[in-house]
Amino acid sequence: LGAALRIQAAVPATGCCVCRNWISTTPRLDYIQRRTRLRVVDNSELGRRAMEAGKPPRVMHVYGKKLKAATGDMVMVAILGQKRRGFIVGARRPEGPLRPQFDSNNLVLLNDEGQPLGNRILAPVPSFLRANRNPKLDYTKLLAIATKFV
Amino acid sequence: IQLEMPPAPSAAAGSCALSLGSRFLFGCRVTAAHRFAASPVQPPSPLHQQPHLQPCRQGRRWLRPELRGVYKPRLSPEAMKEFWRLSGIGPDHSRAKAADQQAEVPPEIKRLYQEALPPIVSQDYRDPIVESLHRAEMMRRRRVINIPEFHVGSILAVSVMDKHAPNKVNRFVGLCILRRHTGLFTTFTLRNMVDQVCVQIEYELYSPSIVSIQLLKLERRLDDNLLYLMDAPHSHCTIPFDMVPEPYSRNDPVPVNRERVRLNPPPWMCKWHLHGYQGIDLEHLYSYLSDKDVAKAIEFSKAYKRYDLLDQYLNRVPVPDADYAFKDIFIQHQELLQHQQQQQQSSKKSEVISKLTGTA
Repeated sequence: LGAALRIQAAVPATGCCVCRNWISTTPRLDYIQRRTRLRVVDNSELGRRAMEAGKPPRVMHVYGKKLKAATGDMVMVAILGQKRRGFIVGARRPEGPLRPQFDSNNLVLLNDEGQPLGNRILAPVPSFLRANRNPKLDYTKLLAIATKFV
Repeated sequence: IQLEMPPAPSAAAGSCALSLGSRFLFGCRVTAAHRFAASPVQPPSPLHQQPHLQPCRQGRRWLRPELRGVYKPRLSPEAMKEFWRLSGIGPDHSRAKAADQQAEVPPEIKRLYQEALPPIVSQDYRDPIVESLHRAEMMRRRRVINIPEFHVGSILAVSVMDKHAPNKVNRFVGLCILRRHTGLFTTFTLRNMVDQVCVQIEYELYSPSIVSIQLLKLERRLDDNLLYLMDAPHSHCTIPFDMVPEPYSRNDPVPVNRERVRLNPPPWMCKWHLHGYQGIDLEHLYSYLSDKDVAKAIEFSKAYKRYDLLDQYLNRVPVPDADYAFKDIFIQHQELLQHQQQQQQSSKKSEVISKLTGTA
């Protein structure tokens, strides 16, 4: 999926492990918010070019009257000088039991009508997204192009 | 090290604390004098004035809901007895009496029921009745589904009810990297690489949504969690979904995988060198660090914490409580084995009956 990018991770709050050591750290940047860089996981031309150039899309705006985005939210991203809508299909933030957590924040690019730009999603998609619950977006077509549900 | 139990607060002091309905504000320092100002009893021993409520730099300390000390109104003795009769626990119940009289439990019980230990929380937030109920519920759930013995480093296949899946069941295979919490809310996290993307899913061990937990490989690692695999090459957590289960013998000790993982170059998600992990290739790890960081890591590994009695007191379950929990579980484990035998016999019986009567 393009060049391997080392996206700078925030240091998680310690004490989440079973070993109980309290080390002073900055608070964990849990959610996807403005300025967050995401990883495009569909096979769209724009996404592929951006990831190979080493210029991943950056979140500009989170839809739904909120400041933070998680799996299942629609965002507006700046990608190669363009503004595009995207849908988050996976996040680094742990969501709780039975909900998968990924090693990267995965994005599927959408056009202005909300239809996916590519025709395949190359990363596994969480199964709970099949409930199709986003009030701002009907992403049935997106689920149709997903290859694997987790 | 076997610690001597510190002098426990008198029963009167304990019950007084409950009846006062003390609500602790997280993040504030609360002294014993303030808590016991209104009561005629002695404040607890100095060991109990310890830092579980000191202001925490990380902000509010969040306790899981089932552990928070919420004020509960006192029940009359008759109401308590009725409650004990209905729930099957309590000081007069036969199982509690049997547990008190039980000799040492076999070591395999401690392997099978690691989550039966009470939580490592200060005594104010622990409720023995709740813990007893949790154990009973855990054993009831084990009559419905077989929960195998596994450790961090084992490979499991978990099937979960999923209304959106085509077969209504969602199966995931992964390496167990973490086991958290105790009692009914024990969770474990599986990690695997799917389509070049690493996925981690947390499951609650006793969740009724779980259809089956299948053990594919029984193994242990040198650490009690493998969170550093997030910064390791993906080959360490790639498990094929069609992996065939490896047979194992219950009588053998659990094999230990002494593999030392080489992490990817920094930046890392966490300062792995400061947590005392044995499963990381330390020479390779230190080659990425500055001299100052290496000195810090070596300082940490000197294990001075072994001599920190207070750290051990706060971070261990008191030995009598642990013993009682395992004895209670052992009695219910024997009942579970009886139940399983009865089920096998009844299923054999129904097989024989159906053969004789000619039904399918």
